[in-house]
Order: sequence, then structure tokens, then C-alpha cells
Amino acid sequence: MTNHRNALKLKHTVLLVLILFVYLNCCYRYEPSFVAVRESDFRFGPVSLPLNQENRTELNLFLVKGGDKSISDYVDPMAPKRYAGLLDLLSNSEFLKDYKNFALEGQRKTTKISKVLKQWLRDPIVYQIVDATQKRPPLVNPISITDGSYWWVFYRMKDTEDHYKIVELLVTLSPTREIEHFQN
Amino acid sequence: MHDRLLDYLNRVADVHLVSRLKDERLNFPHKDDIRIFLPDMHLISKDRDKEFKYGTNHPALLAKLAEELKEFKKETGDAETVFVYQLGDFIDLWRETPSYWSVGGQSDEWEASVQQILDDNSPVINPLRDPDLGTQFILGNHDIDLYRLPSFAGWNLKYYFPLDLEKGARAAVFHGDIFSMFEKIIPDGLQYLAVHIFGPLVKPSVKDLGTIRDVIIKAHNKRKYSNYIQRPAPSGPDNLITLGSEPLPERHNVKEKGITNEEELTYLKEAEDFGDRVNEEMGWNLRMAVIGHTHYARIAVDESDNKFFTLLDCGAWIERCSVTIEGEEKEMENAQIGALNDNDVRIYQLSPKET
Repeated sequence: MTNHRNALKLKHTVLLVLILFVYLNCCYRYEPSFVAVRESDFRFGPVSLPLNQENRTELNLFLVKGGDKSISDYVDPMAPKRYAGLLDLLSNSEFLKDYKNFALEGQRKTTKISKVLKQWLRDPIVYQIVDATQKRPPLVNPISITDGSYWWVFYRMKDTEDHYKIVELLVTLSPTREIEHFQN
Repeated sequence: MHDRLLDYLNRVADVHLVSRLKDERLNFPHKDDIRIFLPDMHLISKDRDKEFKYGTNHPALLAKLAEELKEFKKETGDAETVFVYQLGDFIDLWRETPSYWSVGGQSDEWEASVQQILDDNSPVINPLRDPDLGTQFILGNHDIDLYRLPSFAGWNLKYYFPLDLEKGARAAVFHGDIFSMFEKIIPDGLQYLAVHIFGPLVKPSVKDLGTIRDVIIKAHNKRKYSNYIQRPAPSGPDNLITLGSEPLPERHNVKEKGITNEEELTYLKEAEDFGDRVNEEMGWNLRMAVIGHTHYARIAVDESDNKFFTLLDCGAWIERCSVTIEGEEKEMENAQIGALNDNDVRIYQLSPKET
């Protein structure tokens, strides 16, 4: 009787594995992640890094307007305060030189962001970008990281043989808005 | 700038004054800056429109009005600014796609329905969405789900103006539905609103659209809106002034706290409490809230105990109002706009020009 039950269990397990195998092979489709650069009213930049005072003021205004340059009013009055720390870092040339400050442990084969950026941004790093303002895709893909509202696109430049630094910034409104539930 | 705006309105419509308040305490002394507010329109597709006994009033006039506002903005010099707001419920997804809302999910069909509304109403919608006019759109309870679609980026739940980085904003603009819903559904709803959803401290993406949407769905329940949305009977009655050579009174038809009835003061207290909380958080001096939603055009003010707070409810372009014009009582189709300039706020009723 026990042998019969074990055989039945084995049969079910094999069947489940088979169904899973068929699903993964037939139904799962790989979709690459990419960032889309939005229309001109909904993007800021690209500007050279480190940020200078003028760029920083303009970026703050863009963020205050909720990422829409055409708006004349406050949409997000606290944005300058919320992003102040991030903008401080992006105004610091030493910070920009060290790739470890962007990708986890400076790896180039990762989608995880550095711990320091996690105060404002979140995983994953997205390497693909669709930017219709350009003639062709970039030769060196930027790294793009979101905070939920915007994609922060960091353009890279090869510094030495095996090292990249961050040289330009573009901030673009996310094409989709998120639903985030407030937690009491 | 009020007079010049009136010139443009008079080109396409017969214009009556619903209400006016000219008062320095409005705290908007800008002579070179006019804010124009277009309330709820509830546009739906032609097919769905046949299913209802009522609909958007005077769509042809609305289309002409939008074109005139574009002209007004274009012909205004660089030294002056014209800002146009649409106060929410621009389109009506509840009447368009009731089955979608009962399920509460997303579907391709729903997106197609949105497109059908846009296509069927292009003479009204396109000039209002024209970048040359630069209308700032609010998401209302009947069109909140537009936030999901990329082409409605820049449509928000609220605005604060003017954008004055030193002194802060003095007025808030939103749809207005939340005042009723949150008090009913969430204990201390106004505090929740000011702190977590509409307040200036709230990051736009964390404005709790999810919760708002849930609250809206609960509030709508299974209503079909067969005969009306907000008003089973016309709003009012209100005494309207025909615009002509006579100078306008500085105060006309203002609903004052302590004097007029509760219905005429709807949401004044809620808006004022909200303003107090925002002022406390931000160190601002908000003295006005601009809303739509109720389909009852009125200016309500609280001047009690040395306070001053104004609610500008700009009415609608759907349903009806009861009015008296030059002693004659009649019903009119709501077709109102609000305007603010130089400490002078007004609401006008428009009707197609009589030929």
C-alpha cells in the first residue's frame, strides 16, 4: 500500500515538473528592460556632471513642477528638500569618478545599485535605452535607475582601460505612474 | 485682464455674471496674471451618449471657447500670463465603461474606450489639450484612471499657485470630490488627506492613487448615472447679472458663512481646514481653494473671527442650474468658467449666442 502511495506521489511530481518545463519553454517570453526618454516637456537634460548651480536650480524647478516643464505651479513643493542629498552627490566630481558609487561594488555585470544611491533610487540598473532624440543608439549605454517617479539616466565614459566614470545626467518622467499604498 | 477676457468670451457666447468677489484679502494682487478655470465636462463617446438623457452641455460652444482662450493667450503680451486649468472630470469613464469599473482592473478594451472618447470629441478636446493653450489638467473621480496612461503625463491631483519660492503658494486647485469621500470612509479623513495625499509634503508618485481609486470605487458603488451625476434637480436659484455698460458690483452672490444655508457652503469648511493644515506644514498663506465636482457654481467665503478663506466652486458643463435674470426665473444648462486676476475672482455663465 505504501509503495503504491509513493509511486503515486512520484507520478504527480513528475507530472508537475513536466508541466512546469512545458510552461517555461512554451509560455515564458523574455522581454528586455529598457528606459524610454520622454517628450521634451517631460525630461531634463542631458547636462554635464558635476551639476553646476545653474543646472541644479533648473533641475529643482523641473522636480517642483512634477517633471512637466509646461506647468506653472507647484506640484511637488518638497522635491528640492527630498532630492537635496542626491543633487549634492551629483555636484561632487570625486563622487562621479568612482563607479562604486553607482553600481554595487563597482561591478559592471550587475543590476544592483550602490548602497549610497539607495537613499533615493532603487534596483535594478537598466542598461538599454530608447532615445528618439538621438540618431542612433548610444555606443556606450548609460545606466538608468528609477525612484518611482523619474528615470535618472547616467551617461558613462571610459576613464581608463577597465574603468568608467559618470559624465552626464538626464532625468525623464516615468512613462507609467505607480500605485503606492500608504502604510499606516 | 478681466475685461479683455470678457471681450473674447463675448465673441462666442452670451455672458452673465454668476458671482464676483473683489477683495484685497484674496491675496492675489497680480494685475499681469490671470487664472482661468474650466470645470467638469464629463465627455463620453457618441455611442454611449445615446444611452443617457443628459450629457455635456453646448459642446460646440465649448470648442469655440477653447479656441478663443488660445487666441487670448496668444495675443497677450510677454509681460502678462494666462493660465488655464481644467478642474477634473474632463472625460467620464464611469459612464463610458461601467463594467470596467465594476471589476476594477485594466484592459485593452478600457484603453480603446478612452481613445473613442478622445476621437469623438476632438473639436472640444484637441484645442484644450493644445500645447499653445497649456491647460493644466486635474484628475477627477470620473477620470482618475487616466493616470495609468503615458499620454496623460502631467495630469495631476492638485496644483498650488503661484509658484513663489520665497513666499509660497496662496491658492490650491483640485477636483473637490475627496472632501466628501474621505470624511465618510477614513476616520479623520481631512488630516489623512493633507498629510498623505494632497498635502505639499507628499511626493507625487506616493500620492496614494491606489487608495484614492479604492475610495472612489467604493463611493460610486453600482450607480449607473442614468438620470444625473450630482444633481437630481438644478442648483440655485441664483441671481445672474447681464454684462453690459453698468459697472459690476464688487461683491455679488457671495455665499457667506453664518448667513447662507449649508448647501451653499458645501466644502467651505473642509477646504479651509485643509488650507490651515497646509499653511502649518509649509509656512504658506493659502487663502483660496478652487474646485469643481459639485456642479454648483458659487463663491463661498468664511470671514468669521477675523479669518478669510474663499472657496471658488466653478460649476460644470453638465446638468442644469436655476437662475433669475432681470427678474425672470428660468433654468439654464450649466456652462460656467471661473477667473482670478488682481484680487478679483468671478464666475461666468455662458450660453450660445442668440442669433
